[in-house]
Amino acid sequence: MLGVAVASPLLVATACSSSESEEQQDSDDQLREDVAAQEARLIAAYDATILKFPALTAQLTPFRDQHAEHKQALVPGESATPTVTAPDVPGTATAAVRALRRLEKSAAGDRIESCGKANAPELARSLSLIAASEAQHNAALKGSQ
Amino acid sequence: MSEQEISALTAALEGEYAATYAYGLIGAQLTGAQLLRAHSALDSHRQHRDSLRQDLAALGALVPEPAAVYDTGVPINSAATAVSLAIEVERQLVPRWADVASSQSGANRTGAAKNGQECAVRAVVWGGAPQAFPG
Repeated sequence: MLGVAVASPLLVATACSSSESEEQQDSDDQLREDVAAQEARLIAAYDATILKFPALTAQLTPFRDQHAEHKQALVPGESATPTVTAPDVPGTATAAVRALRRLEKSAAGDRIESCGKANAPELARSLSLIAASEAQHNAALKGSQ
Repeated sequence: MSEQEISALTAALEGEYAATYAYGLIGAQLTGAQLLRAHSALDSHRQHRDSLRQDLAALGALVPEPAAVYDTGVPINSAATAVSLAIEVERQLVPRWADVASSQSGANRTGAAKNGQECAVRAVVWGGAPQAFPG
């Protein structure tokens, strides 16, 4: 550990600060739902890719599972199984991974935007960490090709 | 100015000081492309350090100075230990930047979140595994 170690209290998904108005809470709830739906689409994209290219299972499953953690942190309790339609998976494994990379890159940018819209500081913090995680996915998938 | 804002900026500054110190040790063990990567990371951490110092000063808050020495846990005496330290330093900074983001609004918030992304990505480029909630 470097000098000042920080224990990071992770996400308290349902916490709202008392200073938040009802309107701000509603807006944060909507934001959580929206981002959770985007996470579900990412999970579906990974599932469809793994189904089509089983050889990618070991490489892609950790990323897929991290999106399930993101979704769970935003909207706890809901099934991690997405009910969304997966995008079409390209015909080769290389192209399929590249397509996931594009999704991760755009997700990482979208999470920064969502982070800017959050009212509750806890939600902004969560979205900042999720943005960082998805940028890592993009970098790791890029490094793998 | 809020207590939370100052405490988040201070923790991020202390993390950036530690990173700046660490990259001095890391660079000494590396060559070639890895050394260039360490130099570029060091530049970025120095810039963040300087801008955090300015932010704290602008708030009229105490601007802490860096420690003379930081404990790295294990001796940094090989490329492998240097790379492990780089991964750890970058990961530790991500939640600090998330705390800064949560204490800010508007462009300051998204800027802090992007700084956290940069650190998170460097951890992966150094060979660290991606994390659901980096840190």
